Amino acid sequence: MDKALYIESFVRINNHALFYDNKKIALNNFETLEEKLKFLYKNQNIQYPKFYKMDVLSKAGFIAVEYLQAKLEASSNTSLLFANQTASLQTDILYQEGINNRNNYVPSPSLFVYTLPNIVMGEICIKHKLTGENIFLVFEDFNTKLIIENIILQFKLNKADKLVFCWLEVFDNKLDVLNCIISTQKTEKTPLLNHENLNTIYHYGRNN
Amino acid sequence: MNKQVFLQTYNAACALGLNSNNIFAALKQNKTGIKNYSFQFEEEKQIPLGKFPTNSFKQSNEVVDFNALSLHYISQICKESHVDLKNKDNLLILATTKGNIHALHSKPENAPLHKTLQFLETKLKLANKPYIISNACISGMEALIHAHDLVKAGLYKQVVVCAADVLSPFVISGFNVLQAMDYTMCKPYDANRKGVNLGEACAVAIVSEQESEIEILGGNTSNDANHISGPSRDGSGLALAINKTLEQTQVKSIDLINAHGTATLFNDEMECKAFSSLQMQDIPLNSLKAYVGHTLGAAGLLEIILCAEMMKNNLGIQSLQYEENGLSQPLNILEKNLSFPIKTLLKTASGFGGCNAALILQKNG
Amino acid sequence: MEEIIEKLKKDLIEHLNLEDLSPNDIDNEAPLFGDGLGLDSIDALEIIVLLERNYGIKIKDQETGKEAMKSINSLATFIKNNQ
Repeated sequence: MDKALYIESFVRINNHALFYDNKKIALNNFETLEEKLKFLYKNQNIQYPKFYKMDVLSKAGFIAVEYLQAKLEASSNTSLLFANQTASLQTDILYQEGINNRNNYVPSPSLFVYTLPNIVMGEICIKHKLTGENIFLVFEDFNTKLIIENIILQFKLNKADKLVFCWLEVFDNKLDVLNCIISTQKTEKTPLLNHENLNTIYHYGRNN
Repeated sequence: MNKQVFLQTYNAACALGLNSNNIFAALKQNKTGIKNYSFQFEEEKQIPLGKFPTNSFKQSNEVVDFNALSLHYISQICKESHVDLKNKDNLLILATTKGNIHALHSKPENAPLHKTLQFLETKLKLANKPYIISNACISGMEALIHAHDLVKAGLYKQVVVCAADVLSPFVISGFNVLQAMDYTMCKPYDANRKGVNLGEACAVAIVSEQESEIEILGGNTSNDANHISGPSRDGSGLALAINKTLEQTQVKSIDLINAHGTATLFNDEMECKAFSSLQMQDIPLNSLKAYVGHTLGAAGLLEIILCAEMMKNNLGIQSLQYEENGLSQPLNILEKNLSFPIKTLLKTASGFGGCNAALILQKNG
Repeated sequence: MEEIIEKLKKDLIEHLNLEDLSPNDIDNEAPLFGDGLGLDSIDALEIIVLLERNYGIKIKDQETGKEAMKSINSLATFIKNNQ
């Protein structure tokens, strides 16, 4: 029998705002993604200087996790499942610019490391001491069927007792992030993980 | 869930040949596919690479067309095995680190990974949306583990896995600036090892309940939670993935280990710590990287396929380029080909982002 | 030498994304790696790129690099001797 799964906590970030726990932090005053993410970092008083070395994809995923109300404890049984449409394309383009011109050939080691989309999971695992399963998926778009199927799979085979799911689409000055903690624990506040609820929180703040 | 899951069929292409039979024939003769090629960094340099045999596949600006390559091998294996991806019980998944990234240079609209998905959907008739696992150098292994899990959980009947990566200036320049490459033949586990030789490959496999000679018992991934581009110093992340797999599969003994063995100072040393911590230092072990190069996202699946061949032939292939132990805790590295019964095999891989993967294969019957 | 140190600190802060630091915050004698400034292996590679791009100095081998990058002082001295 499949265990019922619940959305224990979530954070939604789009270009206009970050939403968490019925709160909203406006981002309209800032133009670029870098500015928005830096503001969110300082706003939460995070104190993690490595943040500034991350690329924009890692910064966004990192911030999303830091705003989660259900805190992540160190564990070897918490899985990470991250997904998006463009993988690390934003940083790929930046890195490519450094090697396009033979007369100005400046490949960057730190940029190159971030041309793998799974690095964001590495950053989060380091900060929160998570040593369990981790997988980065690329879909054509935000697809609740594929997302839920892949989340269920982790629990069905007992690979996790908790899962951090993050849809992390960050490209071309567009911020489209949904971060959830999925668990088998039901409480009053936790909705069931299903297509309807996932879509509701994905569209949360659309018109706010 | 008592389903058994098998490696129904497979094929691969890399520097040693365009099908897995030819590749294994070359391995048996300890032939390497790695050769020196000119590469233009700021100045031109000769670097050892595991490139496909010349002019094997469609290219744009000397880089193999990733989309065409994947399509070719996916179509071929489905046709030959009569696997119909129009059937809603069947799924196609891909594994790659950079896919068609070379397109950034001239046709950037074709570069994104989701464009590869769209390309495949227009060329193949697919009942289910395909997707890509992009998880650094464990991508190929992770895709096969994922396929196993999907079938075991009863979500699909047949999963077609295609793991591929092609050599491009993007990738070669990156490994160069990270100082991770050896400018001579790579030497996994050797005292004089200096880094990787990059390679390219395309590997395909069909995973299903259909009984065949090689059973996939199961696999796991883990994260070191230590550093984003250097492996953990104590090997505990890799050991965790292996332990979880041993627990999950209830396997009591391993006959052969095919490890990641990229020939970097840190990776190989980390592996010896991991294997020693699990009392596995006496199990025959090899790395295939000096034959085919480090094929990145393809590596995990390409090497799993070659492991299946080793098992079918009861032949442990020599870990090429290993002469003098360079590990703080020695492993039982195969210094020449060894014929012996290989019933159970452990495959491992590790990658940037601190990820690790472990998988166990077993001969059926 | 003072000038070299000041410029070097500013270059490092910018190039290595040490955003919350100012040149005054960086101790000239403190180790750059491990404790002290807490740089890592990727930062070391970026410093090699920085030396080539901003100072025209190519580091030939790992030993030279390690010696030069012990502290701000040793790096500034290295720059002075090799420009």
